[in-house]
Amino acid sequence: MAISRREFLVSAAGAAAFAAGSGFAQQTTNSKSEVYTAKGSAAEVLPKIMEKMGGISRFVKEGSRVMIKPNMSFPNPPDWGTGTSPEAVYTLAKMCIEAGAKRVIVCDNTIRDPEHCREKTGIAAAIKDLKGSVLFIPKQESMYVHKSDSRAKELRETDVVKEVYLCDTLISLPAAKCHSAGGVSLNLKGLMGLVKDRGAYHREMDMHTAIAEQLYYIKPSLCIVDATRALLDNGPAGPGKVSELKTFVAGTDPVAVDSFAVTLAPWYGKTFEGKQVKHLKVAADLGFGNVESSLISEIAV
Amino acid sequence: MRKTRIIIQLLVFVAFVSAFFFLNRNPTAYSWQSEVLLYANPFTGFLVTIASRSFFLPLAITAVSIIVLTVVFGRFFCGFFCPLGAIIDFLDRFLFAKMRSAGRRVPRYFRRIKYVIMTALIVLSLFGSLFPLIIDPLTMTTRFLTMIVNPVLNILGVDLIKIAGLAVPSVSAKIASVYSPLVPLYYGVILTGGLMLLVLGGGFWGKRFWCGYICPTGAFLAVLSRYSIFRRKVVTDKCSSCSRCAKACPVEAIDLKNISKTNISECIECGVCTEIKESCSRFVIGGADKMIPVTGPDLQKRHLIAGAAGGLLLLPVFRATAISKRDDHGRLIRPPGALPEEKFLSRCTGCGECMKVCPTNALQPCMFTDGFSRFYTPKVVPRVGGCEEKCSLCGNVCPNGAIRKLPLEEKKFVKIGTAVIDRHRCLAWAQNRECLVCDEVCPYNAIEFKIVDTTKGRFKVPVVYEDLCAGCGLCEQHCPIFDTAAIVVYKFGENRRESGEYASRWQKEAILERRRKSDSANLEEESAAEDEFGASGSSFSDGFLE
Repeated sequence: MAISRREFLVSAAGAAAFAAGSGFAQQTTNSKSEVYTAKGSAAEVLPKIMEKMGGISRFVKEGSRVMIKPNMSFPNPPDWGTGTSPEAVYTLAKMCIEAGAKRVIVCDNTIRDPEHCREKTGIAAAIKDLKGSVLFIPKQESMYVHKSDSRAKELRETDVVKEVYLCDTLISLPAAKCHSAGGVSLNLKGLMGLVKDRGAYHREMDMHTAIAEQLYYIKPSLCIVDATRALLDNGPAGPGKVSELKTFVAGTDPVAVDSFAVTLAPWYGKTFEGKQVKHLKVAADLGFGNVESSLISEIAV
Repeated sequence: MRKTRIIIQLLVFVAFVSAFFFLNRNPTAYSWQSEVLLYANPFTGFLVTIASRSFFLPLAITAVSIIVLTVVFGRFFCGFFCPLGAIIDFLDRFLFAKMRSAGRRVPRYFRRIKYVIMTALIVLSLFGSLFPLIIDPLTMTTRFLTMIVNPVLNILGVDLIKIAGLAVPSVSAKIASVYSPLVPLYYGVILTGGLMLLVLGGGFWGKRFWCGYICPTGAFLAVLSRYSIFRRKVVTDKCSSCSRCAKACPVEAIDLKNISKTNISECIECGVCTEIKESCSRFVIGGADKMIPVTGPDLQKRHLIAGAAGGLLLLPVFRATAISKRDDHGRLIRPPGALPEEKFLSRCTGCGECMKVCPTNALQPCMFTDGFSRFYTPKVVPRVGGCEEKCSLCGNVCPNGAIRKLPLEEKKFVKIGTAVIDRHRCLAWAQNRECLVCDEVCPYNAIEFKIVDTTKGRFKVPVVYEDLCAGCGLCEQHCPIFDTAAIVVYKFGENRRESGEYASRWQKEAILERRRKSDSANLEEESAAEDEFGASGSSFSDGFLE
C-alpha cells in the first residue's frame, strides 16, 4: 500500500467504495450543515455563538446532567496547544450551569497519568470553584459499560464510559491538533477519550473506520472546536509549532464541524480540506454528517 | 510511665503512617519530607554511611542525634518510636498475650543472636552489601505498607464504590467522579508478607521476641545504651519480691534472681514493670547512683567473631555472584536520578518509599531478577508503567540519597535507557496497520513517523531517535499489542551521575531544539504534485498563519 504525502491525509478509494457498498445512511446528508465560527476569547465568543445557535437551552435543559469532553490527555500547559484551553472549559461549564444543569461532568480518559493531567493542563483549577462541576477521569473497569452495534463493520463492540449514558447531554470540546496517525485530532478523534480499549483500534481494526464508527455509540449533541491555539506539527503530544488562532467552530454536525476546522490552519506545513482526512471521509460516507465544503455553510458570529 | 509511653508510641505511629500515606501524594506539589521519620533510623544511617563511605546530610544528622540520645537515655527508640514495635505491642495486647502460655521463658542465650546478626550486617556493609537490611524494622514497616497495605486499601476502596453503586447508583457515580484511583500493585508480595508474618509470629514465644532476640537495630541500640542515665530503679521498701515485674518484662531484662538488677541494654523502656503494683519499679535519671545495679549487653568476643565470620561467609551470596558483573537482561532500568550502580547499591535500603509515591506504578522491586544484592531495590518496569515526564517524586522522597533530588527542569535531560522497536512485532512495521501510539505518547518527541519501504510495502512507521529518547518507557507501556511490547526500553544509553548537571548548557539547548523539530519534514519526500481533490497548494515552507 503506497502512501504519498497527499495520501497521508487523503481517503483511500477503498474506504469510499466500501462505505458506499454497505448501503448504510445514518441520516440524510443532502441538507446543508451549519457551522458557527467566531474569533475572540472563550468568555466573549462562546455566549455569542450559543445565542446565534438558538440559546444553550436548546441543548441543556433544566435539571439535566451534562458531560463536557475536552482534550486533557497530556500534562502540558495550555500554551503547548495539546489540550483544550481551561478558559473554554470553564466558560462552557458555567454556561451549562447557568442554563440550569444540575451537574456538569468534565470527562476524559487520559493517556498520561491522571493526577498530572488534572493539574498541569490547568483544567482542574479552572473549574475548581464552579459549584456543580466535577472533573472525572475514569480509570476503573467498573466505570465502563460494554456496548456493541451490529451496524458497525470495524468497531463492532467497545467499552464506553458509563457516565456518557447517564448524562442527558454530551458536548464535545476538543482542541485543534494535528495527529501523527489520524491526520487531525478534533471531535471524532476526541471521542476515543471516552472509550476503554483504544489499542484495539490499532491492533485489530481499520483505525479510521473505527474512529468514524464511534458515532454509533457516542452521539454528541453539540460540537465545539476550541481553536484558541492550533498545534500544527508534532501532534498530538507536542511540543510543536503552535499558532494562536483565537477561533471557535461550533455546530451540531460533528463531521461538518471537524471538516471546517481542518481548513483553519496548515497541518504539517500544508493546507487540507476536510474530505482529505480519512476518518472524516469515512464518517460522511457512513452518513454521520457532511464533509464536502459545498454542503457546509459557515455562519460567522 | 507505661501510659505516657503508650501515648507517645501511638502518636508517633500515627504520624509515621500518616506521613507515609498523605505526604508526597500529589505528584504535582511535592511536600515536605515524609521521610523524616525514616531518617531517624539510627542503624540504617550507620550502615549506609559505612557502605557508601559518605555522609548524606539529612540522614546523618537525624541518625547521629538518635545515637547520641540513646547513649544518654537508653533504648527509648524501641519503646517509644519504632513503628514495628508499635505493631508488635498492639498485636500482643489483642492477640498473642492470650495465646502465650504463661511462665514460658525464652532461653537466655537467645538474646545473643541479635548481636551476631548485627555484627554480620556491619561487616557486610563494610563490603558494600545492604541487602540484609530487609530485616531492619523501619524499612520493613514501610515496605509492608507500600507493597501490601496500600494496594489492599486501594482495592477495597474501589470495591466499596462498586458495591455502593449496586445499591445506590447515583451515589456511586458521584463518588467515582472525584475518586479515580490507579491501584498500585507490586511484585514480591508473598515474600514481603511472609517475612512480616515471621517477625510478628515471634509473639507466640515472647511479648517482644523480635526486639529482644533478633532485631539488629535493637542490638545496635543495646550496645549504645550501656551507660544510659535513664534507668529502672526498684524502691526497696515497696518491693515484696513477688517477681511479677521480671515475668511481665517483654524482653526479660529483669534478672529473676535479683530483681533490682536490670539489664540496661535489653531494657526497651516500655514501663510495663512500673505498673505491676504501687510503684515498686520506677524509671529515674540516675546513672551515677550506685544503688541502681545494671548489667550490660550479653556480648562477648566470640559473638563478634561469629557475626563477622557469618557476614563474610554470606558475602558470596550477596555480592560475589556473576550477576554483579553483567546485567543479565539488559532491563535493569533505575529511577531517574539514581546514582551510578555501585554507589546506588551502597545507599538503597529497599525501603519502598519511591515505589509508593511513583504515580504510574512504574517502580517495582527487582526481587529475584537481578541478584540478591538488588533484591528490594527499585527498577522501572515500563510495561507496568512508564516514568512520567513531569514528575520527580522518587528523588524527593528517597531517605538515603540513593536517588538524587532533581528539579523538573534538570530531569528533562536524564536518560534512564533507550527504546528499541522490534520491527517483527510492531503493528506498523510488520502488519502495515495504522498505529503510531508510541509516537503519540512520547513526551520527548524522540519517536517520529517516517514513510519507508517495509516488507509488505511502503508505509508510515515509527522510528526512535536514540539521542532524544530518555528511556521513560511510556511507549512500551502504551504499545497496544499483547504480551511483550513491540517497543522495549533497554538500559543502554543511561547517563547516571553522582552530582552535577546531566548536560552542559549548550547540550541542553541543542536537545530541546531537536525535540521541537517538526516531523513535517518526514513528509517532504513526495513530489509536490497537487492531488486531484483540489487541496490548496502551498509551498512546503515553515511559515505558518499567525
